[in-house]
Amino acid sequence: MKSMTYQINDKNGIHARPAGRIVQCAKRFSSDVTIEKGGKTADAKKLFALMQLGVRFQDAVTVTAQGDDEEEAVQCMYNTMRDAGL
Amino acid sequence: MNMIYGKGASGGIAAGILKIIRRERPAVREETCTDVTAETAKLHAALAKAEDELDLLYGEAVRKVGEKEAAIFEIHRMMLTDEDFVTEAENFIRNGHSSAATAVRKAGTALAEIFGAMEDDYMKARAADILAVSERVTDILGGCGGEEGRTITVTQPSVIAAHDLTPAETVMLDRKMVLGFVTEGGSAMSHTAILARTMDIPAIVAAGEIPDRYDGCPVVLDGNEGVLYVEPDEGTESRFAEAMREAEDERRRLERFRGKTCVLSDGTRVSVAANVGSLADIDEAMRCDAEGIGLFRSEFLFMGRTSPPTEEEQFEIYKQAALKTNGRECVIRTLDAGADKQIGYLTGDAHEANPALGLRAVRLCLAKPELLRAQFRALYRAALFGNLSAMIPLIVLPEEIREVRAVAKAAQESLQAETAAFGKLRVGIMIETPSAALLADRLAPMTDFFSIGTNDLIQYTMAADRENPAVAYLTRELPESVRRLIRSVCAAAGREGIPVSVCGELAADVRETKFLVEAGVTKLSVSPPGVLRVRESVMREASRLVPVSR
Repeated sequence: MKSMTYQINDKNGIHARPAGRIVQCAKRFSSDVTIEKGGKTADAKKLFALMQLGVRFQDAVTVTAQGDDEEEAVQCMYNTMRDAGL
Repeated sequence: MNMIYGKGASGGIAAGILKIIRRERPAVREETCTDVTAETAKLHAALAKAEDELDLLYGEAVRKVGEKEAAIFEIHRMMLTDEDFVTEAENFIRNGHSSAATAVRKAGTALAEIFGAMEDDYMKARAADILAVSERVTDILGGCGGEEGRTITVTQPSVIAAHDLTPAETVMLDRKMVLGFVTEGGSAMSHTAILARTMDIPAIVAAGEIPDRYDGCPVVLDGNEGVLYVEPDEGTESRFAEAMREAEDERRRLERFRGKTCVLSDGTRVSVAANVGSLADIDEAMRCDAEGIGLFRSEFLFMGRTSPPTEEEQFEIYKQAALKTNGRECVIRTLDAGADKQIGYLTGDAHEANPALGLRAVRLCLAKPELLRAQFRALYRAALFGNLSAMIPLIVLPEEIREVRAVAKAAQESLQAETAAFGKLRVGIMIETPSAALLADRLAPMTDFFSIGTNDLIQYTMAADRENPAVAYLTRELPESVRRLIRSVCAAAGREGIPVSVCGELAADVRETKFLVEAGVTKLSVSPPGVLRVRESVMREASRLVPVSR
């Protein structure tokens, strides 16, 4: 299992466009990828679930991947979130 | 006079006749099914069709409002394929024996309710997206899918009113007929509002009920304040007429520069051309009196599809572009994909930590030479129909020009071998990296012209992302380092006798017109609505310029 924490710097939180990017990224991996905020966990491959987390500006989230490509998955999630301006 | 208060969603003022659009939708009925398997298959077929529709819509939206805002239709497509949504709909069929349409509506409504109940205003507004998506699917199931059926058509210029507009309906609005719009529902955070701003349509949302008796009444729509004046009194009418007159005065002042050409005292001609992203844009550019097309982005041909366009498809478009530009120069930029312009089937899933510095633009083309070869073959063939040039993006080294020229030559030779007809094509390069600017003296003899792409040149020189507000202060004013690069690029081009144009946002910044022209730039290429303003600036600010009629 691999995980990282990430603090959201985008004033709008995880809004639709970055959420779409995150889902696209997570879907490339066979590992299970989740994002957790304040005790709630969402499957990062599911757009609605991810948006329902309601992640906002300055929230800290934990990204976790478990599976054969967990290392690459977490790295990709980090890059995606950063590139999306989160 | 009656006033309807809503929220200003897109600034500007519109005055005209109100046209209320009430769409006939099939009544919502609870339908059941007997054959669960068949109904589930119907559901999946409709979902697939809706996906196709959204793909097409995305391509159309890219053309009309650019990739950034078009992304919403990609999100809509993802919503459609979301496991939670699809599973929920399947469950309604399997467990509740609902018809596919009822199942989709129930699944969509349930999700929309969850979002509508969220604390965050932004997330609340996403309920509208979900409903738009599920409505698209139920329309398909009800036999009335397709964008044509969904497009709002108005036959005379009007201010339109509707209960709400979906992002798809908004992006398909005919800007010439729709002066402004007001919706009873909606929110300023909706994608509909964002699209209205991008399309420059004054708009009000969340206005509450608009009685049908107002249909056909004269109205003034103030998108800045969010007020709709129905049958406005004289004072109101004259107040807004004044504001609109001022805008009109400016337009008229600029009209005096239509048909004019700027010629410097030494006889050098400075032209103002237009940047476009589609054939429709060329028509607009010509209406705006552009002296040619300084940048035709060929990306749109490659977007919203799953494989590259064929040589034949490209040929048709470039031929039309050449013809539409009326004998003036039309500069077509070869495929500039990658970085912020991802095209799935080309750029693939390979993740780049730093896409702006990655395999993009000419690098991607040289990595897939068959792609560039087809583009060059199409360009050479189309060149027979007008005054075409090709422009290569993101050059950093002389070697790249050599490679591109080799591909171009091979394309030309293959046409010769087939005894196919082709014309003369100039090949120029974009100067948008510090490396290219510093090597301008070496690159100039290898190319027919330079075009400075100031957006990237500034970003790469200052190491500052233009989209990042935290570092915006570095590029708010044109940096001295970039000024020096531009001067030396112009000097190198001058020694070689090749022209320099500017096609970045800087070209439209009238504060810098004087600097650019004095540096030796002879063509400024801007978005079509800016053509006359830039021409006025060239003629006014540089007193040594002598305008002559074309």
